[in-house]
Amino acid sequence: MILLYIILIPVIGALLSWLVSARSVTLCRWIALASLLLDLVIVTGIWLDQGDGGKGWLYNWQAPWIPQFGITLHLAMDGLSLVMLVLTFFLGALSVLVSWNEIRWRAGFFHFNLLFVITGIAGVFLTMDLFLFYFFWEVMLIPMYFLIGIWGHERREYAAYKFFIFTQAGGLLMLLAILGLYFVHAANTGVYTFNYFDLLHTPMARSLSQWLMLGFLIAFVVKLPAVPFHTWLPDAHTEAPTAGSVILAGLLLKTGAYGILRFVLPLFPAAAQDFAPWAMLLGVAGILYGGQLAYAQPDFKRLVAYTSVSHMGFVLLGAFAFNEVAYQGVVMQMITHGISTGALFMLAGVLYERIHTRELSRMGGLWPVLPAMGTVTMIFVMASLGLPGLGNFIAEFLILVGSWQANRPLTVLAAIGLVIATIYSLRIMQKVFFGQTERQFGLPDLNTREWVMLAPLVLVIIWLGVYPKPVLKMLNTARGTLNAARGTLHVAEAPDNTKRMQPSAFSVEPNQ
Amino acid sequence: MTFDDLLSLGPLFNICGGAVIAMLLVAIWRNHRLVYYFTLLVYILALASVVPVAKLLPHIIAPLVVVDMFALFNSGAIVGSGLIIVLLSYNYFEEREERKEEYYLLLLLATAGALVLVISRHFMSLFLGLEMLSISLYGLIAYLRARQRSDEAGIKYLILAALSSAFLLFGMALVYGFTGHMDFPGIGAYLQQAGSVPLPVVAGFGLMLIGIGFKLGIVPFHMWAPDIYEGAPLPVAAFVATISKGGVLVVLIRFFQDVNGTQYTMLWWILAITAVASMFVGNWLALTQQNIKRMLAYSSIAHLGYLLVAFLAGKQSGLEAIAFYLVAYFPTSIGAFGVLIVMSSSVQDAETAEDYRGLFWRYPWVALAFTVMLLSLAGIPLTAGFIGKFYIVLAGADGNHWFLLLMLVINSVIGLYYYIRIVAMMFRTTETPQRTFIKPALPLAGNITLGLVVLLLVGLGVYPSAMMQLIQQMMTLIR
Amino acid sequence: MYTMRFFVQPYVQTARMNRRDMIDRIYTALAAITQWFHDILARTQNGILRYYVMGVVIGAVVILSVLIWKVYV
Repeated sequence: MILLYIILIPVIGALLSWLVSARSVTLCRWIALASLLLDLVIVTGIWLDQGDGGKGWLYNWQAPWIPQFGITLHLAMDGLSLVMLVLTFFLGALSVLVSWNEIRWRAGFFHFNLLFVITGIAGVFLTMDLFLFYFFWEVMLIPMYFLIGIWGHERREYAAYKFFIFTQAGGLLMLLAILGLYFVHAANTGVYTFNYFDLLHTPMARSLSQWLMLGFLIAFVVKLPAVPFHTWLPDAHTEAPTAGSVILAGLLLKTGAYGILRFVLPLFPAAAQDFAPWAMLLGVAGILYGGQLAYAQPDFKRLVAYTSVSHMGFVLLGAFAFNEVAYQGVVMQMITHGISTGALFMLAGVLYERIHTRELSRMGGLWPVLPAMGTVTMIFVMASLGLPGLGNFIAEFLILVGSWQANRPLTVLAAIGLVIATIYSLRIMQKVFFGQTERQFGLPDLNTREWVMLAPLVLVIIWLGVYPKPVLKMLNTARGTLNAARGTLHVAEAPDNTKRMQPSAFSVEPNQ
Repeated sequence: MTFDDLLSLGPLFNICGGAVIAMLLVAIWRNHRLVYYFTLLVYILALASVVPVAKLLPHIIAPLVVVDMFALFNSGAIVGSGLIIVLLSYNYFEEREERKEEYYLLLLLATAGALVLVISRHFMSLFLGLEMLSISLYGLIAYLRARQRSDEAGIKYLILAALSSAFLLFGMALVYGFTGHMDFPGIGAYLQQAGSVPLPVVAGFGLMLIGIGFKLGIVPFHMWAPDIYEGAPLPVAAFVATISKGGVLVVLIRFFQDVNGTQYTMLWWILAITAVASMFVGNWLALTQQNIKRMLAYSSIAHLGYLLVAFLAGKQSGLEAIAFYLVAYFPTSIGAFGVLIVMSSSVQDAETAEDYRGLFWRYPWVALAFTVMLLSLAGIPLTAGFIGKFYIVLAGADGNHWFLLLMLVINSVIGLYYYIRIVAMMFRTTETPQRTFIKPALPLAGNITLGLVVLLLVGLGVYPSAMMQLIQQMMTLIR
Repeated sequence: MYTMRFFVQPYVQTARMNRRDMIDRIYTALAAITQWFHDILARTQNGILRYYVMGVVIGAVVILSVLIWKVYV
């Protein structure tokens, strides 16, 4: 039941928040924040509860919905979804904080949409019924459309349309694939069901499974986003309000990655293996293309948006490498990218509130005026380029080690991506904070609310970089479920160099 | 006629009797309110009379009429939709026309025609019902005599409907001439034991398709739709969009079943091409349309295309899909027109997209209702329209018609654009150049009706199994 | 120095040239194609009744020809 509550709390929060906003906008914000913090406390509690144990599925809940089709309300949580949920509510709460001053107009409706998006995302991470998955996938769309389209910047309507149509097109193709799987399973076993667990190991012809896999994959690959389906992302991220960008980059993109890990790989293992070289190639293309384009952008948010394309290329690369190390790297990348890019968007928003522009050409030499902001930005810029000691390094390193087993040339190219990341990351610092400027800025540095927002992010990214063990351990339980799902597939096991990833390698000890 | 016969025709008798008495009422004492309430009463009685028929099924009144579960279900849907339309009509006509009472008369007659269509199993009753429906519509579409567009629409509909009825008659004559039967099962039986199908019969089927196709508004017989939807009074446009199409679709399904139409692959191919063409033409034409009435006309062309995909899939799931989609589509369409009705003032219809600019910030509940209707038309989850579309895709997947489904998916994406465009317009926040908006009427009856429709759509979208169970039970009895 | 010419310059130049993202042109083209179809079809809805009648007749002719041809050939 607790899984149902996790999803219901933001819904109730959304409604309450909207109703209350007519009376008091501040109360509405507090309610939104409170509901997300409540959920954060719940999922963190579950995490801490697990300790060492908890193999496989932690919770499982099911209720009938449309029995004529074999559709049930089926929710389940394992290590992967738990970790993703913690990220969801963490970033969700922070996004409420970041819009505290930014969103003044119709704040009630804004928070309603915000909380509904979070609900959709939480639902996506928890659901085990394919119809319900599609349902939540779509539920994420409309509120996000409103968030971008109403509270966004100048080209918000164009960006909102693009986001909506791209995602919907991918989703509809996935619906076809879901139904294909549904009927193949029924033809084989006579049972009509959308239940994930029943649909695993459905025997089917190789070519059919390839088509179905592609159908699923297209939706995730648009969401991820992978080149060449990425062009919705720069517009959506740039034009969205800050909270919208944070949720887009931090969470929505991760639903695509999650979909690949949870659905594509376990449901169609053989077809996924067949497609793996192409998928990895797309990943590498994303890393390099996205990275280069990031460097070329004149708009701060657009630059950060393209870095998302680049980082998610690593995810695609690692997901199709089919080994344990890469898998750990993929999930770490999902988390740390969410945090670092979310933070960068928050900083962009915070900066925008002060100077009302996103154009890099109009910034420069801000360090003397905003040293605190500069420092925080420096930390996340370093994270983005993969500096050891921060979380992203762990993630990218694990992915590269894992994909080295699978495909050497592509890994070499991907490693070049690290250089490219450095180029664009340092450009941010150079253009915004360093350099000469004639303008006299009389700007306030970070205030309390902003510190409350950013400090946890800084702490988490450093913590993940130095002590990733808890996350990796939680993923053990998920690995169990995903391996069981993959069944008899022979996985290219990495030699057990996970030992080298233990915290002792990274803690700062004088005698190492 | 036995008592059972009379009872099974209950809804039809109620409506027809109501029409006659309404005519007398108008003759004795011309009063809008009186006729309005009386018509409401008639529709409610007709809806109530659906219930006792349920235990009599199936009941055949040879050779013209069959009352089975499918017919009864659709009769209920038609009468229910008619009721909603009447509820929305009062305020619309109150301000606009001196002689308002005849509208209700014509509406009752048109509904009666549609009811005859859904129970017919014979060419005579088919034609009778169709003509009753069409001729009433001639008057209804041109009802607002003072408005230029109304007359134009009426004349266009008259000529085109007469043309397609002529084709229909010729087709029926050919089929009768070469099979010797006019009742659907008879034709089916003849063709079964005849071996090869005589060419004139096939040609007859094709000609009948023209007549049916016009009424359904599918390509290439769709061209009347935008002009008629624009010119007709809004409640009448709602009627044309839903009941008129639904009635004809039911009789088409019944005919196809009895004649075993699935064995004629050529007919299947023609329908398939028509379906794909309707989807594309409807969606392409609606893309930049600023007049909402015309946009809804094009959208209904596309939706008939979607419905035809389910029809082409055949099988049990296809029929169930059609039934559910009709249940979802009727309230959605009527609701969309209902929003236009409540937003219209007494002199001008709220028909351009500009009239809805920033509607959410002016009248949030109406905007929300319209958003739900549009999202249901687009097939977004949480609405009945999504379940309907899902059902259609399921039926298509069951029959392995992947090409058709791919076309459906592509068209759904195209369709998104213009539905979301209206939603975006309602939520638009940029300051408009000084513009006075139409002062909407927002009648109480209309608002309440809209609210109930919204609840129905969202309810069906979130919990469809009760309706699905009903439909599945019904479908097992269709043969 | 040579790094500048062989690595940095090409990189920066190509980056600047592609800053608007060529791949986006695929999707803008798709939208343009759809718009083009709309424009063509919109011309058929000209409000002239004779055209509508012709539409019905053309449809009738096509359907009948296809049916008859298929049965006879």
